[in-house]
Amino acid sequence: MRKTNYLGIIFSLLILITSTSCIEPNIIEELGIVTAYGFDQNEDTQEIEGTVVLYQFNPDITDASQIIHSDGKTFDTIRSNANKQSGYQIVNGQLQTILFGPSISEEGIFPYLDTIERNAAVSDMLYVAVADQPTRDLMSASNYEEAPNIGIYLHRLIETAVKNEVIISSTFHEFMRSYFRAGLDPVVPILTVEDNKVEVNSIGAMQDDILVGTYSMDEIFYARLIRDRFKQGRTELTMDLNDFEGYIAEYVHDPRGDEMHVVLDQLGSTATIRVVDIDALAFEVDIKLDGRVIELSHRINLDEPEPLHKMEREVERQIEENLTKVVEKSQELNSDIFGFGTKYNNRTRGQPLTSEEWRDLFPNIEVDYNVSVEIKRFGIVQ
Amino acid sequence: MAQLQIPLDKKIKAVYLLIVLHTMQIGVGIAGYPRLVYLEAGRDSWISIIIAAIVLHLTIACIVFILNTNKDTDLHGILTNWFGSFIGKSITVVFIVYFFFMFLSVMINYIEFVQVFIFPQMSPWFITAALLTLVLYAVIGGVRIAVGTSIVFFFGAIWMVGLLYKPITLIDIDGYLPMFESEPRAILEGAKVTSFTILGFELLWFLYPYIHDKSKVNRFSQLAMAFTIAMIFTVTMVSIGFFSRGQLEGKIWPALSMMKVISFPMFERFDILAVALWMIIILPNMILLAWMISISAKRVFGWKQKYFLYLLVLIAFICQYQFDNRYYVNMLTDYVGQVGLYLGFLFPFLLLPFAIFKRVKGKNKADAKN
Amino acid sequence: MKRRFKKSSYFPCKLEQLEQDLKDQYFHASPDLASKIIHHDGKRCIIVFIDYLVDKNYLYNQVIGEIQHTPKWDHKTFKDTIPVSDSKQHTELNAIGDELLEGAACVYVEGEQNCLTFLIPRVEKRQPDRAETESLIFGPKVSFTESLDTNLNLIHKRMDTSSLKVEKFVIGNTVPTEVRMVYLEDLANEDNVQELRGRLSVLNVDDVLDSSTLTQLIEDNSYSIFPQFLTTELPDRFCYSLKEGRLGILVDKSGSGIVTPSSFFSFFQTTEDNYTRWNMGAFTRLLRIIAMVISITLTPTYVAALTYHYEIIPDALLVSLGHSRTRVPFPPLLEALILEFLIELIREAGARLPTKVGQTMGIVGGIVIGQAVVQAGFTSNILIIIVALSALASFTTPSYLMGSAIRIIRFPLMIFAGLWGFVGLVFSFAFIAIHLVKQRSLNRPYFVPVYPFQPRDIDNSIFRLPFLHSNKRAYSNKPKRIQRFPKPKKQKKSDIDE
Repeated sequence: MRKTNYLGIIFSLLILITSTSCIEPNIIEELGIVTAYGFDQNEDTQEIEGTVVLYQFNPDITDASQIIHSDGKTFDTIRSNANKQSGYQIVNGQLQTILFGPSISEEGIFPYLDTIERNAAVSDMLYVAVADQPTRDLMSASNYEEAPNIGIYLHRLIETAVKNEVIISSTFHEFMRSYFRAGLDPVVPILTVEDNKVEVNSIGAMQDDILVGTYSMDEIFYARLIRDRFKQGRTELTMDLNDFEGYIAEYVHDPRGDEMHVVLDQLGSTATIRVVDIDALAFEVDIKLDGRVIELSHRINLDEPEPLHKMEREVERQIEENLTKVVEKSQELNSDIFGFGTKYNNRTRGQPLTSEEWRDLFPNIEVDYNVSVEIKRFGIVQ
Repeated sequence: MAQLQIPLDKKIKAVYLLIVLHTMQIGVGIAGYPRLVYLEAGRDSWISIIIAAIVLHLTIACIVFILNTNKDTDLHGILTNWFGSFIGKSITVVFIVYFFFMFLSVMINYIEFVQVFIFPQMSPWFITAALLTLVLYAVIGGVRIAVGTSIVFFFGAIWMVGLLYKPITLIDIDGYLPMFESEPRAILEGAKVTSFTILGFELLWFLYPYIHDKSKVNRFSQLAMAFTIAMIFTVTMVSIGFFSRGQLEGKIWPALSMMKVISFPMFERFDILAVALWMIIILPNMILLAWMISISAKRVFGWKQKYFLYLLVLIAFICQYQFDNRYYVNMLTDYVGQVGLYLGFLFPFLLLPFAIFKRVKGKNKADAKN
Repeated sequence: MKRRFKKSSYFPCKLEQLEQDLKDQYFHASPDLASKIIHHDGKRCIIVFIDYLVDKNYLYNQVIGEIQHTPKWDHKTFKDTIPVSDSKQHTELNAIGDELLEGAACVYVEGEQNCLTFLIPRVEKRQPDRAETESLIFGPKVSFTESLDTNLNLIHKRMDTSSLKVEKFVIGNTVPTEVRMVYLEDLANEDNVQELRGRLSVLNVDDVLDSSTLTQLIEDNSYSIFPQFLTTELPDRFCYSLKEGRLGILVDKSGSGIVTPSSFFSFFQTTEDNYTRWNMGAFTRLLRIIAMVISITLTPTYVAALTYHYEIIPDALLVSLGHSRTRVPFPPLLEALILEFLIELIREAGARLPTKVGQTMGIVGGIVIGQAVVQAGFTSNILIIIVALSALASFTTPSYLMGSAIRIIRFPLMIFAGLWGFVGLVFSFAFIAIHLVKQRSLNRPYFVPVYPFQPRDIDNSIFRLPFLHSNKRAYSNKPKRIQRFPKPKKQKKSDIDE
């Protein structure tokens, strides 16, 4: 009953409908959806050799993998050159992992990351990783579990490791954030092939975007202790059996020698870095750690306060020792993956720290550690 | 002429101001704002926001004071009453032109979002046509529909704030430190940038006569301002913590880039939908601006409001062709902001002495009568 | 009461002449006009009626029987003795003819100045039966019938109150149909009553087929796809709405009543929500609204994602989607349109066929075709799930009209999603939102608890609270009295174990 100008509306709708040809559709079966890129430097031509992993849809096989190799000077040229070898439109929207071979990671990976940031279609949550051998070889590893292709497998591999708090997360966003923050260097997982299967081997310490060194899986725990926080971490320590002589219920011969192995898990931790003296570059790291004992190679009556405290002190001592080692290593590499520089910068008001300045200062810093460990539980046996 | 006789069924409740003014202020601006303010005031952007907030609340108080001096009329009526028809009309025309460029800037900024984030090959005139269709359809229903759609769209979009939880979990506290580093001048510059983003409250000048319970106008407008400030404060603070300096300075639309980390089990990339949904955020802007332009034009020139609406849609459609690259879009947005600074913030304070004068005079008259 | 009649120009007349004139002039030699002449005491009396319109049993026993037993034959005595309340005296032949058509028997004693009519219509009506279209699990199951008397009776039985007001309208030039407007005088908003009264009395059409036709004649916006007046075949729902301060319309010969003003969300309510406990009621109400949203969004999102936004598909799903899509020869939009069309075909075929065949049809259509379509590579199996789910979701809407609107609205949404992806999808949602805000039902806002924003009305539209706490009627209907009953006094909360 109300007067509404329907003719006008219908007319404008018609105009809209007639303009259908405006957008090029991206129908999924016509796309070569890339899940991972691997980049290597060709020493002779100075071009980049790219390995492109894409989905290959075929209802008759569950596997959905295709690998294309192509060359080019830039990221996007590699994509477009790869398209020459494929009947599908190659697109980056589902990119999940980006992998750099040793030849590039030693030179600097930042130049290749720009397009990822610039192109809105690419997710910020993809993982940046480094391979310890040419990515071309690494990505041809044929065992990738149930994943549809190796790109997905790499993503799952890194994601599981991050979830288990075995390594430090390095999504693209986190990588860029660390890269751009003065006094904090990015870390990347380092992948390797073992028995035709890719595995996380270690993490790499970057100096800005250049890989300068690696931390073994054991060292990562301590690096992570400072840089990040644990919610359900796990570590194994070895102690001298003689220290606990009085408390061992019954001596059982252990072929591993006079050592006691302790596994702690469900570790929760918080770390704070404090600047004690800004001129002397003295830092203090407070770490609070709590967890439970899940494995003990010798029975000790942990119900008693004495052995428990003794064990806690021992754990503290060992952690401090290891922390010192790890930080000293990072000072040698001159790669501040812990963020001491950021804390330093927080105290120098008015004169923003640059990466270069911190490179000069970082090897000279002094760090003290205060670790306090609390063992809360020890399983269903005492 | 100056007094508006508005039938009761065309009037709206004052509570709606809370949402309508808020939706008017939040639009394309907030997507790029965290970077702009960060470029000026750095980590101390929050001080800039607070300064801008104080100025904003004062401005609103001032506007409401002036409006309350002359009941039942809009800006055009007030100016005509005080300064005569010519000046009244001229200033209203200035406002109309300003609103038109604001309308245009909202539209072309959204077009750019879509082109950058989803469909690079989508032609701008097509998005324009889609937006203008909706604007036309809503505004033709009158002020109640314009306000109503704004409210529905507000509810349709406000839940996106909840999605910030994911970026919040990724915040790095070190991003905020050290505090109080920026110079006062930089902070003031930041406040200026902030004021560009929170423009849009000028709607109150024109919506006022349509409000049913006028005694509550001040309360709800101030609340709306507080709500807006809280919103941009949250978004800015999350952006600063979420990105590091170099990243934030480089991202043109940090608020949209933040959406990139949000994903659901069945919906891996929320940012794609967010950009499309941004249409719902900017539509209230466009609808209310179109309503304001058409009603003010009617007040000045006296033809039917409908014709002005068609004219507006037509001109906007043609003008959109002029802005097809980032440089011009930026230029337009900047100019609109600059002009808005004067028309939005300075103008009410210029009118304030006259309002006080009128009040005193009115009071004297009333006393004399008694 | 004595009424004086003008002296007729026609009466008195001969009985045979009256019979002949009725037959020739009014009924144009209808074969069904029956008559009987009886003699008594030298007086002659004729009884004329239409064979199939009068209740024969009543005619023979009560009318003719009484006439024969009455000693004194004149119209006054007949009127007193014959136990039919609706009797009139007519002097015009046409008036008599009209009465006969309504099922009256006409009695004329020779020599009298006028003609008596007794209304004894034979009414073919069915007994109030179980509701068919709005089926219920819980609560009263009786439904309206096609007889206005029965329907009014059903309503009066439920609402034994003096404030129940019934207004009569006769609509239709060719075939006049009785229409009743029913409301509670002490609750219904006066503006609403005026508005509806105005719309009904202004209506100038040749015919009202059914109540659903009447709604289309008096609704606010006939171009909208959304129904604006609720039609229901449940007397209890009808009465519940009256008690909320709404107005009801009953149409003779129609098995459903109209309730107005109705908001968008009232189409998603059933009386069952009130009969079950509040938490269940609230759950089912929310469920239906979620189902509506799912029904509208799911297929278009599929189309948009597969056509443009492959980025959003999670990788676990991407593989199976990709695998099944490779064999499909159509673009996703066409694929979805075909499948949605197929579902609509099955539904329509099932509705048109007799119940037993209809069920077979559903099985054949649903299972056999569905299976074959996937195997032949016509569609991907994920789309089958999506389409079936959204069809299922659309059937949860209690109002058939609203359910159909939701199903139809999916098609343009799909097309928009297929043409411009999420931008098209958001565009169409924005369009629907503006449309809903613009809609009015009996000049009251249609999209009510959302806009005008009425947080207090959410209780009566989208959600439901325990009855003791929801002692207020919906504000949006603007009833005269908001309170249903005074709020029960809050008892002082005692401490645990006190």
